[in-house]
Amino acid sequence: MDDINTNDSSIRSSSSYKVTKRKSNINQLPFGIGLFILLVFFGVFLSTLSEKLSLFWLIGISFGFILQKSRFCFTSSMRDPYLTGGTMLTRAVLIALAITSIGFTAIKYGYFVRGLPISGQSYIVPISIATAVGAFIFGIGMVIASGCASGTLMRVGEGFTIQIVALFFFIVGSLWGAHDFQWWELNFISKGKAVFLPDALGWFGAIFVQLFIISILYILAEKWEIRKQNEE
Amino acid sequence: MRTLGGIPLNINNNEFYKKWFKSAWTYVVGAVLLSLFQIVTLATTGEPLGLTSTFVNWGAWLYIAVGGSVDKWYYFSNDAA
Repeated sequence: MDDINTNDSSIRSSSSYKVTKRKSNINQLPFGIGLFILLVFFGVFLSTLSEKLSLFWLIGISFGFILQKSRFCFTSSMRDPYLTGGTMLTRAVLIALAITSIGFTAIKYGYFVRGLPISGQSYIVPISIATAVGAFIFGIGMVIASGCASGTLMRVGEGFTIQIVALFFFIVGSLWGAHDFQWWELNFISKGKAVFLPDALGWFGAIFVQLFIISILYILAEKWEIRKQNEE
Repeated sequence: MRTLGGIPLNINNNEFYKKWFKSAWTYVVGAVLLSLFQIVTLATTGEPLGLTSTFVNWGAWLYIAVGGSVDKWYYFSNDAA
Protein backbone atom coordinates (compact mmCIF):
# COMPACT_ATOMS: atom_id res chain seq x y z
CA MET A 1 0.00 0.00 0.00
CA ASP A 2 2.32 2.69 -1.29
CA ASP A 3 -0.43 5.27 -1.18
CA ILE A 4 -0.27 5.74 2.56
CA ASN A 5 3.04 7.36 3.45
CA THR A 6 3.71 9.38 0.31
CA ASN A 7 3.94 13.14 0.59
CA ASP A 8 4.68 15.79 -1.98
CA SER A 9 8.18 16.72 -0.88
CA SER A 10 9.44 13.18 -1.10
CA ILE A 11 8.25 12.42 -4.63
CA ARG A 12 9.81 15.28 -6.52
CA SER A 13 12.15 12.81 -8.11
CA SER A 14 11.75 9.09 -8.01
CA SER A 15 15.32 8.49 -6.81
CA SER A 16 15.11 10.78 -3.80
CA TYR A 17 11.69 9.30 -3.06
CA LYS A 18 13.15 5.84 -2.69
CA VAL A 19 15.95 7.07 -0.44
CA THR A 20 13.54 8.94 1.83
CA LYS A 21 11.33 5.90 2.00
CA ARG A 22 14.16 3.58 3.01
CA LYS A 23 15.50 5.96 5.63
CA SER A 24 12.15 6.51 7.34
CA ASN A 25 11.40 2.78 7.03
CA ILE A 26 7.79 3.10 8.18
CA ASN A 27 6.02 -0.21 8.52
CA GLN A 28 2.99 0.20 6.25
CA LEU A 29 1.36 -3.04 7.36
CA PRO A 30 -0.67 -1.65 10.31
CA PHE A 31 -1.98 1.16 8.07
CA GLY A 32 -2.85 -1.37 5.39
CA ILE A 33 -4.74 -3.61 7.82
CA GLY A 34 -6.51 -0.58 9.30
CA LEU A 35 -7.52 0.66 5.86
CA PHE A 36 -8.71 -2.82 4.85
CA ILE A 37 -10.94 -3.02 7.95
CA LEU A 38 -12.34 0.45 7.18
CA LEU A 39 -13.02 -0.53 3.55
CA VAL A 40 -14.84 -3.70 4.63
CA PHE A 41 -16.91 -1.85 7.25
CA PHE A 42 -17.88 0.87 4.77
CA GLY A 43 -18.78 -1.83 2.23
CA VAL A 44 -21.03 -3.54 4.78
CA PHE A 45 -22.58 -0.16 5.61
CA LEU A 46 -23.24 0.49 1.89
CA SER A 47 -24.88 -2.92 1.52
CA THR A 48 -27.47 -1.86 4.11
CA LEU A 49 -28.36 1.10 1.85
CA SER A 50 -28.29 -0.76 -1.45
CA GLU A 51 -26.72 -3.98 -2.71
CA LYS A 52 -25.70 -2.19 -5.91
CA LEU A 53 -23.70 0.43 -4.02
CA SER A 54 -21.62 -2.18 -2.19
CA LEU A 55 -21.02 -3.97 -5.49
CA PHE A 56 -19.74 -0.72 -7.06
CA TRP A 57 -17.57 -0.19 -3.96
CA LEU A 58 -16.06 -3.66 -4.31
CA ILE A 59 -15.46 -3.40 -8.07
CA GLY A 60 -13.97 0.10 -7.76
CA ILE A 61 -11.52 -0.92 -5.04
CA SER A 62 -10.53 -4.03 -7.01
CA PHE A 63 -9.83 -1.96 -10.14
CA GLY A 64 -7.83 0.58 -8.14
CA PHE A 65 -5.77 -2.08 -6.39
CA ILE A 66 -5.02 -3.93 -9.64
CA LEU A 67 -4.11 -0.70 -11.49
CA GLN A 68 -1.80 0.41 -8.67
CA LYS A 69 -0.07 -2.93 -8.06
CA SER A 70 0.57 -3.68 -11.74
CA ARG A 71 1.50 -0.02 -12.53
CA PHE A 72 -0.92 -0.38 -15.43
CA CYS A 73 -1.01 2.74 -17.57
CA PHE A 74 -2.97 3.06 -20.80
CA THR A 75 -1.12 6.31 -21.52
CA SER A 76 2.27 4.56 -21.44
CA SER A 77 0.91 1.83 -23.69
CA MET A 78 0.22 4.48 -26.35
CA ARG A 79 3.14 6.82 -25.64
CA ASP A 80 6.12 4.52 -24.99
CA PRO A 81 6.28 2.99 -28.49
CA TYR A 82 7.08 6.51 -29.76
CA LEU A 83 9.08 7.75 -26.78
CA THR A 84 11.25 4.78 -25.83
CA GLY A 85 10.28 2.09 -28.33
CA GLY A 86 9.14 -0.15 -25.48
CA THR A 87 5.90 -2.05 -26.11
CA MET A 88 5.60 -4.25 -23.01
CA LEU A 89 2.57 -2.32 -21.75
CA THR A 90 1.15 -2.04 -25.27
CA ARG A 91 1.21 -5.83 -25.51
CA ALA A 92 -0.30 -6.16 -22.02
CA VAL A 93 -3.19 -3.90 -23.13
CA LEU A 94 -3.64 -6.07 -26.23
CA ILE A 95 -3.82 -9.19 -24.01
CA ALA A 96 -6.44 -7.42 -21.88
CA LEU A 97 -8.41 -6.49 -25.01
CA ALA A 98 -8.31 -10.10 -26.24
CA ILE A 99 -9.51 -11.58 -22.93
CA THR A 100 -12.19 -8.90 -22.50
CA SER A 101 -13.38 -9.45 -26.09
CA ILE A 102 -13.94 -13.15 -25.39
CA GLY A 103 -15.72 -12.46 -22.09
CA PHE A 104 -17.88 -9.67 -23.48
CA THR A 105 -18.83 -11.69 -26.56
CA ALA A 106 -19.82 -14.61 -24.33
CA ILE A 107 -22.00 -12.41 -22.08
CA LYS A 108 -23.61 -10.56 -24.99
CA TYR A 109 -24.18 -13.76 -26.96
CA GLY A 110 -25.80 -15.27 -23.88
CA TYR A 111 -28.39 -12.47 -23.86
CA PHE A 112 -28.80 -12.72 -27.65
CA VAL A 113 -29.58 -16.47 -27.79
CA ARG A 114 -32.13 -16.08 -25.00
CA GLY A 115 -33.81 -13.28 -26.92
CA LEU A 116 -33.08 -10.73 -24.16
CA PRO A 117 -31.85 -7.16 -24.69
CA ILE A 118 -28.04 -7.25 -24.94
CA SER A 119 -26.27 -5.41 -22.09
CA GLY A 120 -23.79 -2.59 -22.59
CA GLN A 121 -25.01 -1.73 -26.10
CA SER A 122 -25.42 1.99 -25.26
CA TYR A 123 -21.63 2.23 -25.46
CA ILE A 124 -21.68 1.50 -29.20
CA VAL A 125 -21.65 4.98 -30.67
CA PRO A 126 -21.13 6.27 -34.22
CA ILE A 127 -17.60 6.76 -35.53
CA SER A 128 -17.18 10.30 -36.85
CA ILE A 129 -14.70 13.13 -37.14
CA ALA A 130 -15.62 13.90 -33.51
CA THR A 131 -13.94 10.61 -32.52
CA ALA A 132 -10.68 11.66 -34.19
CA VAL A 133 -10.78 15.23 -32.82
CA GLY A 134 -11.54 13.94 -29.32
CA ALA A 135 -8.78 11.32 -29.53
CA PHE A 136 -6.27 13.95 -30.65
CA ILE A 137 -7.11 16.40 -27.84
CA PHE A 138 -7.26 13.57 -25.29
CA GLY A 139 -3.88 12.29 -26.52
CA ILE A 140 -2.19 15.65 -25.91
CA GLY A 141 -3.76 15.92 -22.46
CA MET A 142 -2.95 12.40 -21.33
CA VAL A 143 0.72 12.69 -22.31
CA ILE A 144 1.13 16.06 -20.54
CA ALA A 145 -0.72 14.82 -17.43
CA SER A 146 0.89 11.35 -17.73
CA GLY A 147 -2.36 9.56 -17.13
CA CYS A 148 -5.65 8.63 -18.76
CA ALA A 149 -8.83 8.56 -16.66
CA SER A 150 -7.99 5.44 -14.66
CA GLY A 151 -4.30 6.32 -14.35
CA THR A 152 -5.10 9.85 -13.15
CA LEU A 153 -7.48 8.54 -10.47
CA MET A 154 -4.97 5.90 -9.36
CA ARG A 155 -2.15 8.45 -9.02
CA VAL A 156 -4.40 10.89 -7.15
CA GLY A 157 -4.80 8.02 -4.68
CA GLU A 158 -1.02 7.66 -4.50
CA GLY A 159 -0.78 11.37 -3.63
CA PHE A 160 0.74 12.90 -6.78
CA THR A 161 0.04 16.64 -7.03
CA ILE A 162 0.23 16.85 -10.84
CA GLN A 163 -2.63 14.35 -11.23
CA ILE A 164 -4.78 16.17 -8.65
CA VAL A 165 -4.53 19.25 -10.89
CA ALA A 166 -5.07 17.07 -13.97
CA LEU A 167 -8.17 15.46 -12.41
CA PHE A 168 -9.73 18.86 -11.72
CA PHE A 169 -9.26 20.00 -15.31
CA PHE A 170 -10.25 16.55 -16.59
CA ILE A 171 -13.60 17.14 -14.86
CA VAL A 172 -13.83 20.73 -16.16
CA GLY A 173 -13.01 19.54 -19.70
CA SER A 174 -15.56 16.72 -19.52
CA LEU A 175 -18.22 19.23 -18.47
CA TRP A 176 -17.19 21.52 -21.33
CA GLY A 177 -17.59 18.57 -23.69
CA ALA A 178 -21.07 17.95 -22.31
CA HIS A 179 -21.90 21.64 -22.77
CA ASP A 180 -20.98 21.53 -26.49
CA PHE A 181 -22.30 18.00 -27.02
CA GLN A 182 -25.38 19.10 -28.97
CA TRP A 183 -23.23 20.84 -31.60
CA TRP A 184 -20.99 17.78 -32.03
CA GLU A 185 -24.01 15.46 -32.09
CA LEU A 186 -25.92 17.43 -34.74
CA ASN A 187 -22.97 18.23 -37.00
CA PHE A 188 -20.84 15.11 -36.79
CA ILE A 189 -21.82 12.23 -34.50
CA SER A 190 -25.35 11.77 -35.89
CA LYS A 191 -23.90 11.53 -39.41
CA GLY A 192 -21.49 8.76 -38.47
CA LYS A 193 -22.18 5.05 -38.43
CA ALA A 194 -22.28 2.88 -35.31
CA VAL A 195 -20.89 -0.60 -35.92
CA PHE A 196 -21.51 -3.62 -33.72
CA LEU A 197 -19.23 -6.25 -35.27
CA PRO A 198 -21.56 -9.26 -34.69
CA ASP A 199 -24.25 -7.44 -36.75
CA ALA A 200 -21.82 -7.10 -39.64
CA LEU A 201 -19.84 -10.34 -39.44
CA GLY A 202 -21.91 -12.69 -37.29
CA TRP A 203 -20.92 -13.63 -33.73
CA PHE A 204 -18.22 -16.11 -34.67
CA GLY A 205 -16.87 -13.91 -37.46
CA ALA A 206 -16.73 -10.89 -35.13
CA ILE A 207 -14.71 -12.58 -32.39
CA PHE A 208 -12.47 -14.27 -34.97
CA VAL A 209 -11.67 -11.00 -36.79
CA GLN A 210 -11.22 -9.14 -33.49
CA LEU A 211 -8.75 -11.71 -32.10
CA PHE A 212 -6.96 -11.93 -35.46
CA ILE A 213 -6.40 -8.14 -35.57
CA ILE A 214 -5.25 -8.12 -31.93
CA SER A 215 -2.76 -10.93 -32.72
CA ILE A 216 -1.39 -8.98 -35.71
CA LEU A 217 -1.02 -5.85 -33.53
CA TYR A 218 0.76 -7.94 -30.85
CA ILE A 219 3.26 -9.25 -33.40
CA LEU A 220 3.81 -5.73 -34.81
CA ALA A 221 4.34 -4.36 -31.29
CA GLU A 222 6.97 -6.97 -30.50
CA LYS A 223 8.74 -6.46 -33.84
CA TRP A 224 8.63 -2.67 -33.29
CA GLU A 225 10.36 -3.04 -29.91
CA ILE A 226 13.09 -5.25 -31.37
CA ARG A 227 13.62 -2.81 -34.26
CA LYS A 228 13.85 0.17 -31.89
CA GLN A 229 16.34 -1.67 -29.66
CA ASN A 230 18.56 -2.45 -32.64
CA GLU A 231 18.53 1.20 -33.72
CA GLU A 232 20.13 2.30 -30.46
CA MET B 1 11.19 -8.30 16.96
CA ARG B 2 7.83 -6.75 17.79
CA THR B 3 5.14 -9.09 18.91
CA LEU B 4 1.39 -9.02 19.20
CA GLY B 5 0.37 -11.01 22.26
CA GLY B 6 3.41 -13.23 21.87
CA ILE B 7 2.93 -13.79 18.11
CA PRO B 8 5.93 -12.46 16.17
CA LEU B 9 4.99 -9.82 13.57
CA ASN B 10 7.26 -10.82 10.73
CA ILE B 11 4.65 -10.67 7.96
CA ASN B 12 6.81 -8.02 6.29
CA ASN B 13 9.37 -10.70 5.50
CA ASN B 14 6.86 -13.31 4.35
CA GLU B 15 7.53 -14.13 0.69
CA PHE B 16 3.85 -14.18 -0.32
CA TYR B 17 3.16 -10.90 1.46
CA LYS B 18 6.09 -9.39 -0.44
CA LYS B 19 4.93 -10.88 -3.74
CA TRP B 20 1.25 -9.94 -3.43
CA PHE B 21 1.31 -6.63 -1.54
CA LYS B 22 4.82 -5.12 -1.55
CA SER B 23 6.33 -5.67 -5.00
CA ALA B 24 4.78 -4.48 -8.23
CA TRP B 25 2.99 -7.10 -10.30
CA THR B 26 3.88 -7.78 -13.91
CA TYR B 27 1.89 -5.99 -16.61
CA VAL B 28 0.45 -9.31 -17.83
CA VAL B 29 -0.94 -10.10 -14.35
CA GLY B 30 -2.49 -6.62 -14.39
CA ALA B 31 -3.93 -7.21 -17.87
CA VAL B 32 -5.50 -10.56 -16.90
CA LEU B 33 -7.01 -9.23 -13.64
CA LEU B 34 -8.30 -5.99 -15.22
CA SER B 35 -9.96 -8.07 -17.96
CA LEU B 36 -11.50 -10.39 -15.39
CA PHE B 37 -12.95 -7.46 -13.43
CA GLN B 38 -14.11 -5.73 -16.62
CA ILE B 39 -16.04 -8.92 -17.46
CA VAL B 40 -17.34 -9.05 -13.86
CA THR B 41 -18.48 -5.43 -14.25
CA LEU B 42 -20.43 -6.12 -17.45
CA ALA B 43 -21.93 -9.36 -16.09
CA THR B 44 -23.07 -7.87 -12.77
CA THR B 45 -24.01 -4.29 -13.66
CA GLY B 46 -24.93 -4.64 -17.34
CA GLU B 47 -22.51 -1.81 -18.19
CA PRO B 48 -18.79 -1.80 -18.97
CA LEU B 49 -16.49 0.28 -16.76
CA GLY B 50 -16.68 3.92 -17.80
CA LEU B 51 -14.89 6.83 -16.19
CA THR B 52 -15.32 9.95 -18.29
CA SER B 53 -19.13 9.97 -18.10
CA THR B 54 -18.70 9.94 -14.30
CA PHE B 55 -16.35 12.93 -14.60
CA VAL B 56 -19.12 14.75 -16.50
CA ASN B 57 -21.50 14.09 -13.60
CA TRP B 58 -18.91 15.30 -11.06
CA GLY B 59 -18.42 18.41 -13.20
CA ALA B 60 -22.16 19.01 -13.26
CA TRP B 61 -22.34 18.65 -9.45
CA LEU B 62 -19.52 21.19 -9.05
CA TYR B 63 -21.18 23.53 -11.55
CA ILE B 64 -24.51 23.29 -9.72
CA ALA B 65 -22.70 23.82 -6.39
CA VAL B 66 -21.32 27.17 -7.62
CA GLY B 67 -24.78 28.25 -8.79
CA GLY B 68 -24.86 26.95 -12.38
CA SER B 69 -27.63 25.00 -14.03
CA VAL B 70 -27.39 22.15 -16.53
CA ASP B 71 -31.14 21.54 -16.83
CA LYS B 72 -31.31 22.82 -20.39
CA TRP B 73 -28.16 21.09 -21.62
CA TYR B 74 -28.81 18.68 -24.47
CA TYR B 75 -26.30 16.16 -23.05
CA PHE B 76 -28.24 15.73 -19.80
CA SER B 77 -31.72 15.95 -21.31
CA ASN B 78 -30.92 13.36 -23.95
CA ASP B 79 -29.27 10.81 -21.66
CA ALA B 80 -26.86 10.25 -24.52
CA ALA B 81 -23.96 9.09 -22.39
